[in-house]
Amino acid sequence: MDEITEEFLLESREAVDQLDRDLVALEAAPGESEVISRIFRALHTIKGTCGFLGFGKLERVSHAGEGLLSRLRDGELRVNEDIASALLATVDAVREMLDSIQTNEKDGELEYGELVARLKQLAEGGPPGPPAATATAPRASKKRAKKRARDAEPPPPVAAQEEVATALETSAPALEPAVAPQAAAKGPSPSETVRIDVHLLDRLMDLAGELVLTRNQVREIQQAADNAALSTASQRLNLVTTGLQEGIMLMRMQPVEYLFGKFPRMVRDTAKQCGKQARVELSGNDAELDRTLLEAIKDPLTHLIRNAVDHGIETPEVRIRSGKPPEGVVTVRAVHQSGHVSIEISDDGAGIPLDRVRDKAVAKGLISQERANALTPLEAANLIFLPGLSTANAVTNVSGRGVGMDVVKTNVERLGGTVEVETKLGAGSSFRLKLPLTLAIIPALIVESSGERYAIPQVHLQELVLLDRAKQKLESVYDAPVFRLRDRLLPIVFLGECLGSTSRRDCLARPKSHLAVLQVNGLLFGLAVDRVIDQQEIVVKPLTALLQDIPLYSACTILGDGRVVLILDAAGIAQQAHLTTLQSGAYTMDAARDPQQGASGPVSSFLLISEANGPRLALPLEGVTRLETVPLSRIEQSGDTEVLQYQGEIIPLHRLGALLPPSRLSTSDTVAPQLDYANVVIVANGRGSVGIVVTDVVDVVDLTSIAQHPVNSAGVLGSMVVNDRVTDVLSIDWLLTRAGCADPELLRSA
Amino acid sequence: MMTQYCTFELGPLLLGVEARHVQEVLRAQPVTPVPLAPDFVRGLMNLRGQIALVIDLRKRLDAQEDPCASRPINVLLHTKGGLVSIQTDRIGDVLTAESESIDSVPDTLQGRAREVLVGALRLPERLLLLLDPERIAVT
Repeated sequence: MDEITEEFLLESREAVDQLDRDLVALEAAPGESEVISRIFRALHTIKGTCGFLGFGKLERVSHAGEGLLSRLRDGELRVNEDIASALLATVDAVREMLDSIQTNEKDGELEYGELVARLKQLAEGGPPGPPAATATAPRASKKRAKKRARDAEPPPPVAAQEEVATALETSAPALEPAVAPQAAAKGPSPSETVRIDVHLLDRLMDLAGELVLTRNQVREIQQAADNAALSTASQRLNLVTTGLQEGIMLMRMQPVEYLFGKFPRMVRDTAKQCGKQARVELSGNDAELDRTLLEAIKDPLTHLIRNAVDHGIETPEVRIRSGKPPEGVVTVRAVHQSGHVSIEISDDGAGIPLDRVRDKAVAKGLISQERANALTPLEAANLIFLPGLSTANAVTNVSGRGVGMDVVKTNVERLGGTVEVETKLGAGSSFRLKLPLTLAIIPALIVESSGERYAIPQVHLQELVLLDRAKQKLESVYDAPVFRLRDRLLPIVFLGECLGSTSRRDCLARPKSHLAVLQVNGLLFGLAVDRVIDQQEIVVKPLTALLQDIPLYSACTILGDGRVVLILDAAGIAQQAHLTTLQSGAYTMDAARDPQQGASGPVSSFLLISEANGPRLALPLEGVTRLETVPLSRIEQSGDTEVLQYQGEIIPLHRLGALLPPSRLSTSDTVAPQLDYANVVIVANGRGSVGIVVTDVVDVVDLTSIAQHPVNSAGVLGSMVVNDRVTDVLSIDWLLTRAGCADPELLRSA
Repeated sequence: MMTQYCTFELGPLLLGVEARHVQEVLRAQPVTPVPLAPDFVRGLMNLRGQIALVIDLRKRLDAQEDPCASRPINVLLHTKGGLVSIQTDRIGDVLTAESESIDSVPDTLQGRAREVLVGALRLPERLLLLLDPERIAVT
């Protein structure tokens, strides 16, 4: 493709994007002559240049559009919805043809006859004027257009390109790609800005990363050499490298305007599709993000905005009934805050019906009824990010398939960002995304596990704890290790075990290790590593496709000694270790509430029991009918089961050890004390009684709350700290099910 | 059409790739292992700021382990998915051959080798098996 055509494509694409925005703005404010002139000029330039380059179809379509526009500009017609739609369709057609030119240097096979006819018809729909000129005599029209467009130059390509550039700069300075941001703010003249190929930019970024590496090496040599001249040179190298790196980073920053510019059109189209009225309000367009990041958040943002229109905003009738203006507003706001950009998408629609969300989550088995009842409104709203939950009553082709919100969340978190939702029934919802400015260079903690180094992004790091087994033991809730961090139980994930390089036993046997306390979307856990090495800024490099499927890594980097190091993905690790967001959300929530609950929370009693070769356990006392110490001679056999005559009934007996999963019991061969009596806990589930034989009944304790722990273990209601030991609370129902006597009726009748 | 092939040996096998894919040949470099990756992935290697995926070609081809194999030689390949380094025993000549004289892989060839081999070239003495660089680092 020759250079002129390439240039033409590049500029036309920008012009077309601007046209989208301007047309939607025009529809909202039909009288804006400034906007009409701008649209006219842009289309005119495209038409002129493509005529020169010999793209006949493209010329014909843009010409027809221009004809209609000239009537608008002269005030002979007013913009209405039909006209706006037709003009937007023109823009789409132009875009299609540009794509076609890009791929095969021809302006496509489609004729667009219908569109051209529609445009002409609309142009003629106005008061009598000179419509014939626009319809049949392109030459004449071109001349007329030339006269009318005050500052529009006739077609020769070079002049035309300058014109686009000027038009773009006056209307939206931020549209120049890859421009130093301060220059964009001032509104630069064309000579101060340069277009740069993004690949070249990426290459420069790579080279800068490499230079940082070389600098680090030189620094090490210099420290060893103790040479004054080398030291000076090394310092200069350091300064220059840092400066260069910062400069290149800035070059990669682009205003969010790029992304936001597409929203007015999108909101308009989505609203039309759903039979609603909506417009978008944008602010903070000049906040800047790294271009790769900008590209990566495009889909999540698009999804959220379409959702806001489709689910959030009500139909005009409903809105009027609830006293709102018929037209809904979607507000998109970007704010730059210390090292982050937060983007907020709010609508003034119906809000999220939290009851429905809760019910749905329970119905789909995503959370339990009890958990659902205990959720705060904020937590309930955040349920919508669970996979498989959609509250749209009907599946539309815009949204409602139940995929999406979880994907939005995953994608945003993958970028090191977070997403939250707040909603008020009848008043609307608001989604808040918090994103890092760049993905290219991040602060990270370098740790070691099984002799290899890994990097953990600092964003997720809450604190570091030295784990000295001599001082503090790790405890476990079922087979999930936990650490007592101040007043809460922290689930532990062993990095070595996660990576498959060290067995759990070896991980536990290490006398000393470090806990990196990580937080990903409300989920707090301790990642046990062998050693913490360093903290440094690392240059993030993407992983090759083959390794991208491994959830544990997000990317890789190169350290000062030239070795490649993998960057861990905290969310992926949590996923691998089966810590799920919701359970852990419950966990942090309970832990946070603990202090206040001391005074007012309901008090429940628990029976502490223990097994000879197992851990100490607790049962809710309300489910326990009686404790009996029974001489062994009174225990009889009935079939395979041990039974006990108790208050005129025959009740089945089960040994606790046999009910617990084998993983629960320690492997140590502690011999159970030989006793001539058995401790029997009689439990009932409303329909009958069962005796559970335990080694020892320790105590009865009163506690205000039990902490829900985040690891899903069957039969455990939660865990608590009693006399400085972690104690699991077993569910009696679960024990009964385990015992195979969910229905004791049957047993009794037998 | 005449095509150039870089050849190298892996145990008893003579293998080749189209020369246009080969960036360079290197002695063994430090490699960072990637736990949980497919077994034929040795790890990642830093090549002057670029990251290359190091493939254990023996495992990739299901070839027999060679206990007396010396230190491997890395052949760096350009692929669409990035730099891929394959570890070989010895480097051979660059051959020029008519692409018409390439036979397809026998249908009886099964398993992993089939995934990465594109054809065989009949040399006077032995067969040169041709690898498709694009298929080496995919599963």
